[in-house]
Amino acid sequence: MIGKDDSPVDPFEEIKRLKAENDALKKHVQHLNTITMANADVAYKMNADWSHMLELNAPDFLAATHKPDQQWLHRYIMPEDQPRILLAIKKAVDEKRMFELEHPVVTVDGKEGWTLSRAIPVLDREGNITEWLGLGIDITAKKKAELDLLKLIEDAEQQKRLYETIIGSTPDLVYVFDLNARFSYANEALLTMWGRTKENSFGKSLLEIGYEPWHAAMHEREIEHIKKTKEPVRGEVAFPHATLGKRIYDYILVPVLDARGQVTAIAGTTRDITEIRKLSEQKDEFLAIASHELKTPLTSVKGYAQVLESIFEDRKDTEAMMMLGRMDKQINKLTGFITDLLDVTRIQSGKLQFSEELFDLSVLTETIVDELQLTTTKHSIKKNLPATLLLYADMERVGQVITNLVTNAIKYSPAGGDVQTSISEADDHLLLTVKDCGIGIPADRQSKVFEQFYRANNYRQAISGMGIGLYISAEIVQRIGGKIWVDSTEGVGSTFYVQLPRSNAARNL
Amino acid sequence: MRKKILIVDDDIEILLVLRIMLERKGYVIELSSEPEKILLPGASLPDLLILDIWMGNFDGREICQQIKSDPTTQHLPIIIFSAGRDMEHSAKAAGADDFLAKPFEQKNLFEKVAKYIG
Repeated sequence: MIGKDDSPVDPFEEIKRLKAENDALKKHVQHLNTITMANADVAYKMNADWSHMLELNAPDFLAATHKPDQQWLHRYIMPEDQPRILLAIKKAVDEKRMFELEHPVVTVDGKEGWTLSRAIPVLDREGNITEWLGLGIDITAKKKAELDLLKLIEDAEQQKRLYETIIGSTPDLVYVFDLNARFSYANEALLTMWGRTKENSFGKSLLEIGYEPWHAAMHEREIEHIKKTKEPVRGEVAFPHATLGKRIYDYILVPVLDARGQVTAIAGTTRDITEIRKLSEQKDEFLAIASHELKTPLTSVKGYAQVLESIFEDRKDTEAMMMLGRMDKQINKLTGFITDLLDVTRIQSGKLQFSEELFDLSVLTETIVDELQLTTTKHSIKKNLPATLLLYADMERVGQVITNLVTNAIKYSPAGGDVQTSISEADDHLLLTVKDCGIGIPADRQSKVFEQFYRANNYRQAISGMGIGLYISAEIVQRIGGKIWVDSTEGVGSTFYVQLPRSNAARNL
Repeated sequence: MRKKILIVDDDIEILLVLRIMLERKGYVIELSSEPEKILLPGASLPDLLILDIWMGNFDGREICQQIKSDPTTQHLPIIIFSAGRDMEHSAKAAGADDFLAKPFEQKNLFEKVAKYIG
């Protein structure tokens, strides 16, 4: 050490001076600590190469260290974070510059926390590091919020990718209109159909995209309607496609509501149903032709059977007559099946036709019952009918229902017995009932007997049928404005009810 | 004098069996599977026409309509018969006096024929 004037230094004075300097420095550090700790949650001191932690204070956040500790890294830092932190320390030590890092820590209660840690090196006169003074801020809450937000964004982006993949790959057309009826979104299928890009489509109106004026006006009206009512609109539209010719589309437009329930956009999906429609029409046409072609030879077969029956009648050959009579009944059965098959497809395509005429329901029922009585000797079909009951409806269809119910009553009472048919009149309706004492229908199957192809009893071998008779009957009754239902006990028998509205009754005509 | 019935159908078997049935009842039967020929001018009219609907390129309802709209032929009673479903309404709309669904009951055929020509 060198004195002011190169005079020998008084060792006592020198010690005194150093002590004073040291005290001043300590005071200064204490002062600094007070100021900085006001903003910090952690204060720590490390030795020169960070091999020892000399001290750490972090009330309510990290466990404290009061004496030099070599295991500090394992106490405060989780193994997976250690390499990154050691690397940052090495860099700071090598460069003698401030250490600064955001990193996870093990908190006092053993959970994961986050800190933003800064430490500055204390240098001696030769510029060597003597120790490090560090401060840290508890950023656990902030970091958690950041991570939650990041996860939320990632989830949202994943959802978006998911929806984009689905919407982008569906052959259906998916689109969104803004409140001014301009496209704000169109999926790949729609852009391809238009032959346009997102860039030259979004923000454009229907007319600008190239829709015909009538077509654009129609959708704009629908969009206005949705804005007003918040109700979805479903429709069908046919128009020429650029390359595929005339196509038929089924579309649905729905309001997109915000959190307050206000309409913010209108989303739509459109499906090309041309092929389905074409197939359905082909099926209908095929069945109509097939049914006609099947009935044509049946007509001559039935004709010859009847002519033969007349010839044998003239010759009084009762045995041959009986056989031809049975043959005729089988032809009628076959004709019935063909008619039923055609009716089922008509029901499905909504093309079952009805006409109206005035007829006597009692006479019709009696005629049918008498004819069906001829088909069985085991059953006795009883009639409890009003003398006359005029009805204004489709006689053939009503007859079809009665025939079906009575035929079923016979069919499902294989042991024979009575079948009771009756018609009663009430103020506003007529009630036709057909009661048998047959095998009945299990309770859990009763509601299903009016469904297509449903057969309540699995007597496929014993009792033939296609399971469409009651389906057709139910459709006919419903179209006439009536109701059909069944009341049945397994092993005891079934009663079918057909209620027809009084408005169809024309007693006073 | 025996009444004459013209039956027009594109199915020969149906024509043949109808002839047997109706001849047994004493009617004079003329058959045709060529609907275009029945409208030739000067052709002698039968007392009753029984007409099928679907005959190749011809629709019996159109023929019926033409006969019923011509003052010289409109008095001719026409029964349309068809194996098509729900044809009665359109047949009557075309002016047919009656309709018979195929396959038919001989009894119904006789009743309908008798109704127009006794």
